[in-house]
Amino acid sequence: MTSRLPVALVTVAALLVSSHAAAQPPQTTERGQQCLAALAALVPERANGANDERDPCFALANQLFDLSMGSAEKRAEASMTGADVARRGIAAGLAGTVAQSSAVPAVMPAGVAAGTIAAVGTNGGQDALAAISINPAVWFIADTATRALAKASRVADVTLLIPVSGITMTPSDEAPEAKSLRYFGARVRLNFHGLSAGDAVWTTVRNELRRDIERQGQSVEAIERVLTTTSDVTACATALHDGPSAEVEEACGASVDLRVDELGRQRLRNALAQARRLADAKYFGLDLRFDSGDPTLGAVADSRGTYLFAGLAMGRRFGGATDAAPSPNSTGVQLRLGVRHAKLDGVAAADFAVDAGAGLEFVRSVGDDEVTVTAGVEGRWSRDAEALAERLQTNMAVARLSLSLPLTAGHAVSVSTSLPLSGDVSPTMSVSFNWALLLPGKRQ
Amino acid sequence: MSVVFKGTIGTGTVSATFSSDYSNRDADSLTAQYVSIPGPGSEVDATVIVPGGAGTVRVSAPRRGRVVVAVETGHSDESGRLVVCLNDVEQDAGVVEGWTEWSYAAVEEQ
Repeated sequence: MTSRLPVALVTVAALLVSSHAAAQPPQTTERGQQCLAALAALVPERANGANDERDPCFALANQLFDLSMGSAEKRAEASMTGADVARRGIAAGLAGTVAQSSAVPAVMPAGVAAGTIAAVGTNGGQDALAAISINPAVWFIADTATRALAKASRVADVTLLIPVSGITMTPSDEAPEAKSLRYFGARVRLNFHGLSAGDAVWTTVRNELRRDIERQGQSVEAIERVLTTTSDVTACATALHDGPSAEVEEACGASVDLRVDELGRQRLRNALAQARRLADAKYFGLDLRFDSGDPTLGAVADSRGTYLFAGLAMGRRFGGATDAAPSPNSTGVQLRLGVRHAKLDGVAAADFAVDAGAGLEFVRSVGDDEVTVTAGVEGRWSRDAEALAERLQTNMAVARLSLSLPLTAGHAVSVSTSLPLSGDVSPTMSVSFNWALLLPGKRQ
Repeated sequence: MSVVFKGTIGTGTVSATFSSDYSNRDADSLTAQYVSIPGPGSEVDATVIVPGGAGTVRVSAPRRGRVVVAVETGHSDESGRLVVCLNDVEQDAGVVEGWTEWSYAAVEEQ
């Protein structure tokens, strides 16, 4: 019994050693020291750092691969052409006002806050309108937001609209003490579709990511193999870093193919860009508006009242890039449909009207910004208030055209015009200055 | 484009969180990849993060292998904060700008 004990201990020890050897490649301490020395020579700032001694030659193999990858990516970056489709320009929402700055308003909320000042001309004269949009979620969630909260932060914003050329009405002779707001508007935009990029896109992304990392694994394994067999680790590592293949073979005793699969990396890059673009390229959401006062800013007499609008809006951009070649051009469609409830001052009955719009947008990316042209048709129809159609601005259709030009990053100027196609409505022209990033934020 | 080898890391669940700066103009992508060395065995995760938002990706790295965490921004001057954790314990954190890859050699505890 006693004579068997040492044999059993030796057997257990041998098993432990062999299981460890299976988990770790055979690597003498001396070889490990050589790999650490090569690592320190290759990247001096890594000397004695980051637990490299836990598996030195494996760490060195990864480091060598990343140096090779970094060089390849820098080359790819230098040769990249074209631009991604920029995110939809997000301005404070002037939708539904006479200064509406796009043919069909979208419901993409502002990231933090956005502002617009618009000068507008109608049959009633000239006026100016200001809009400030604030994303309420951003003010209340911490930087360590969960993914769910992060999505929520992109769902909604609130816009306040006020005329800036004269906030209050002139007191009338009948009620000289009464000073009420000429016009006041509020708008809520809710976007439910901000982060969806589609299953097909994600399947492609995941497949490319998997292919990419498996290729990386094979390369790192090949590098580690020669590092553990070469007679001079430092010379081999130096040759692998920047030497030609003949030099690698001479220094390492075997050839190693360190070429990065640039075509595969390009496919991965394109798949990721496509996912990002699709996340930004479409919206579907709710548009809620409340207006009090005269929303025509004097273009139509006796149109003071309260107006409530609830509708759905959706939009989608196409193009901008293919797998083969990024392109600065893209096109898009925008649709909205809703119901407006209106109650004119001094009129007993309220009016319900259907409000709809459809438009096309044409976008050209210019550097990091975009030039956008939108054209569309909007209309409002009601069955019950023929006599009040002009005051209510119903039973009409207008054609809208808008051009938005970037000024600087996040800032743009828009010129918009609307022409009546049917009904008794005023043509309009407006010039808007948009600040899409009122409060840019950097995380530290 | 920045490719940085961050060193060795233990085995387990590697998670990465990217908090996009509010001033970024378009969405950013965050990916995590793991491959067992020697193979076979790999796992990937990816998400898209809109400006001002944050997202997390996770991969399980149960054996010796390579882990890559990458942020791709739409524009080279866009930035955010990247935090990498192993089993929910922070390993690396920092502000990154443009396309950034952090790689790790996943090593089993000895």
